[in-house]
Amino acid sequence: MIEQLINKDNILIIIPVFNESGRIGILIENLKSVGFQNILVIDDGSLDNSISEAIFNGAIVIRHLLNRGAGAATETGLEYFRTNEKYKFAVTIDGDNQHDPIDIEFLLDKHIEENADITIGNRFMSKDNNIPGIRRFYNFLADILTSFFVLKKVNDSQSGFKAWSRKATRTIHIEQDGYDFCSEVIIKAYHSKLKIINVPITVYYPENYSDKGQNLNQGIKTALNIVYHSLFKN
Amino acid sequence: MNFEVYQIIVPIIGLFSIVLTLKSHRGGNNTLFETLFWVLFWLSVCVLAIIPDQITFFLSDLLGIKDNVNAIIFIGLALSFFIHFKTFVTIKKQNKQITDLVRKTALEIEKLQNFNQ
Repeated sequence: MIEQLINKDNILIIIPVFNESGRIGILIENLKSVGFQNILVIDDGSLDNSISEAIFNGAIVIRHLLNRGAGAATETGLEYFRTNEKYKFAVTIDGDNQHDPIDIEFLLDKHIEENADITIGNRFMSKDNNIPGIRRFYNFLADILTSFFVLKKVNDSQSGFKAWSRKATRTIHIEQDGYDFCSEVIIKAYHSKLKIINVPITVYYPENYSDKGQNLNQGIKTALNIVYHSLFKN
Repeated sequence: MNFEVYQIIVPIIGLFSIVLTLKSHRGGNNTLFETLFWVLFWLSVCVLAIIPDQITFFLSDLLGIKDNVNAIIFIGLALSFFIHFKTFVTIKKQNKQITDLVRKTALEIEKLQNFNQ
């Protein structure tokens, strides 16, 4: 259906990456196999072979000389999208290969059909997803906090899998360098009255999955940052 | 007038700090506002050490706090929180500047590589 609605050549896939050697190459291959050729990897100062894997597999690579965080890397990708008018939509996806590239088609399909500004790939709308308990817990806390600032129930505020319209990328400029950028995007989108929709996605967490983004320390930092920026910046 | 030991040591430390602040300002490391703030801060500490009773009773009366020692602790805590907050905001600002610089450099390098191809 997507083929009828949009040309895949007009879609830019943005992947923020930090030390994803062994996974990023497979992800790019999978993306290409479903027809997405414009893949932008933002290497956030990786110390492993992530860059070589990305270049070898034919992605455009932009490299941060210092590690600045997932939010900073995503904003760099969006800035590239803003200055390259040939792309109509941007899709941000995690670099650890937890998402299924086939879902992008479904995500964009709904995005266009409903004329949305931001479409969130929602991990909790599908009951088949085997999400680790600790990740569910952190997500639950972040959802409560995000919901509080937008005065609406938000579900899966921490999903990195999103489709963006040009309007959304022009309106939202990510200021949070860390993982709290996910909440920041939702808060800013609601405050700017952008249309946000949720679409169920499949997510895969391997057994040896390293939960980089979610630990107690990071969780507290994220929560404090959301509160600080909501009180003093927004 | 009998002086306690701290009434001699604290002003010496205060004066030493003022000299360091002024030297730092001359070296271009502090803005005029920062220099004035720290000079006034250390001068207050020196005066407080030399005439503690008059100052603390004046402050406790002014703030409506019964005990003069409590008044000083209260002011000290408030000042400490203020400095912490200022430091926090400064670090945040610098972090943002570093991120902006890293982003700009990354995008410029990509543009140059694209241009050369």
